Amino acid sequence: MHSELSARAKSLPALLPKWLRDDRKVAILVLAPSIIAVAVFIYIFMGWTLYISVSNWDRPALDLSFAGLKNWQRLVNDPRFHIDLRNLVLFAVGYMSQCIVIGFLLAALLNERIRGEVFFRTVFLMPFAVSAVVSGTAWRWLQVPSAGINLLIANLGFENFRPLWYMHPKLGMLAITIMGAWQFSGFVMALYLAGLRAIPDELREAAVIDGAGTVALYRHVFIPMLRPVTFTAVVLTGAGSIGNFEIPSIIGTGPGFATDTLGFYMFEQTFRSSRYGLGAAVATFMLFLSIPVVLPYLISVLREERE
Amino acid sequence: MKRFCLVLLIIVSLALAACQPVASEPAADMSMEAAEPSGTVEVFSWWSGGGELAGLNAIIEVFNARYPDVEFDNAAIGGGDGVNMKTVLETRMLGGEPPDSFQVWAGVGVVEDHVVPGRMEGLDFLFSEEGLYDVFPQSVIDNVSYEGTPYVVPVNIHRQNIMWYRLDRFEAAGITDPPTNWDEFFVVAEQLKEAGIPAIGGASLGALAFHTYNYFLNSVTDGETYLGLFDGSVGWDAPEVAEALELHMRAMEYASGDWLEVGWGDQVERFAADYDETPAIILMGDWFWGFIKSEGIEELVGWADIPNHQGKYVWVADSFGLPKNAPNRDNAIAWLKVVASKDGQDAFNPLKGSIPVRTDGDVSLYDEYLRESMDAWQTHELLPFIGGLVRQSFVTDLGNIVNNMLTGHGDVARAQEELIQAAKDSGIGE
Repeated sequence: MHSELSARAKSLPALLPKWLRDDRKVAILVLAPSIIAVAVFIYIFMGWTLYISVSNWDRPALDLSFAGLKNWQRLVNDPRFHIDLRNLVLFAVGYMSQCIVIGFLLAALLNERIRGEVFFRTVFLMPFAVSAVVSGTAWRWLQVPSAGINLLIANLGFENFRPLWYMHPKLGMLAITIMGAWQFSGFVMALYLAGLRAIPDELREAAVIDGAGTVALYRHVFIPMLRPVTFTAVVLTGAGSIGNFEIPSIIGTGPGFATDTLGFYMFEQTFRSSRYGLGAAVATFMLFLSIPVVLPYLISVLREERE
Repeated sequence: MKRFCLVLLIIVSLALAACQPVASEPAADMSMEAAEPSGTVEVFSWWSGGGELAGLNAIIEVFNARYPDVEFDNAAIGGGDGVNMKTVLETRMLGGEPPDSFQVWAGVGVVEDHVVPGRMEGLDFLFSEEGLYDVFPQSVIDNVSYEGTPYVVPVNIHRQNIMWYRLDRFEAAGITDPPTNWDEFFVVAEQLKEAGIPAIGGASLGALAFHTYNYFLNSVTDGETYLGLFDGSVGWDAPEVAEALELHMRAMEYASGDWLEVGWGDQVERFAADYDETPAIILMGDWFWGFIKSEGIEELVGWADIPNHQGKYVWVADSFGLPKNAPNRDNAIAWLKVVASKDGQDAFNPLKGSIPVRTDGDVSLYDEYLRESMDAWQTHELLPFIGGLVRQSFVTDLGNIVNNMLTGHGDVARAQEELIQAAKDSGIGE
């Protein structure tokens, strides 16, 4: 039986012309459609966007004449762009720290082999399955200053404590990070839990025998060993912070653009104001911004593969 | 080797065969004309609720009765002022896949954004065939035309500048007459404030700020200055621009304390119901009349000219056009014929809260408010609203700039600087 199969397997390449019997050539041939598609739809279009950002196309009519750095100059001088950068910093700090801390804590708790682990794991992961539009709308109502959570606070007797949440003209973005973190922390938990489960029991036992308490165990054994997971979580939440578009499209851009993002700014300039050049400049800027976030990750993945 | 080549040949020829009909179909469609329309017609609009939806459904009924073989694909995308629909339209246009017809405000916007870039078909043939040159007012024909050719068919005339007020709220504050100028308005607003009633409805929304600013601008300019701001003969550094911005800021101090937090839809709902936050006054076009009627609260509501707007009819015409390469061109033309028709307009407008563009509309079908509006259309100074005077980018920018001032920095000089830049960007006066 075995020999029959291998004989048949041998006969297949025999059917092919000589130049196709080389594995490497076959691999290139099979991959060619994907390589071409990726080249066209990702890299050529990236280049195309870069070119539009230095073109004069700021009307519905196509105008690809070269404009130099006009759009970039305008972008850099636009007060809304400055606000969006501030918002990005606020969002990234709030969102990344909440996702990683909450995700890690949940994973650590679940890792204690508690009863009903599957139930809790599902509950924590559930928000990730909810569409951002749905959760954004629900959170919007929860955070309306005249209702929602503030009513709860007032009923508890703190009538004078009335936070503005996402309506805060400067820090509204921080309130929004709560919505984002609610959605994504469960996913980070899943990452950490998988990481924790991959740590061999012998290590834990050895550390315990050496006299390590829970805190020392996490501090000196688990957290350092989970560094690749933290790395992944940072990359994912970082990229999510840069590309945030849904939230302002649901909640609005807030008082004085307090909850505006680069993504929404790009969308509005491009499709509502027909400033394609400026929109492309914002898009290119976002791409440059994501390079330092994603590149170290790619390098580490490549290095691991080589090892 | 031979076998492999044969297989390859078969695959390639199959692939080619599969591709071909797709490329040849539209050409065959184009040549077919004069046949009885059948198939579908996809029409974009932003009418998705209230009186707007009722009006749209009524005119679709007229269409279905006249063209039973054409399926009407109602591709309405909600969102005030078509803010979402226009975005989808722009992507479809850029992708070379226009709908068969779409809603647009008549005026400079459609010309600059769609006609000049060569996206639209001229409709001279339709205007001649249907006798529209005789039944549409000349001012409207001029407004929908570019270099002498009409490009869109208007279905209605909305009056954009109306002050709607709750009679019971006025009574509660001891107000007998609606204010006629801004000094009176602020006296009334104080009275209302003392009675614990928000004087004016507002929301943090660019599209709303755009409309509201239009009112303040019109109340501090004469017609010539107002139009001059858009043809470039008056600069946006004019003192009236700042004066209107200041008035706007001052008026919003009398909105309910939570106006920044609620959406415009919520404010409108409040106006129709009884809350502490129900605003006494809403400044809005008469599409709001369609809403009032659909809520059945006509008895509760009075209307008057916006302060300092006496004798001015600021108008906007919802229109439909024919994009080049419309997939079902004949059906689109059939739709435009219904849009232009007497029975189409008379079915649509009484429900929508607007008046027909045709001068031969059946007056008996229209209610008290709309008859008043028809009279005003004949006697008042006619001024297109801003959306009919500039390209869409300026509409978006104006809304963002004013909204950002009202909700954020509160700096009139900065807002005016930004308006000057926006006017330059959108090519005003070029």
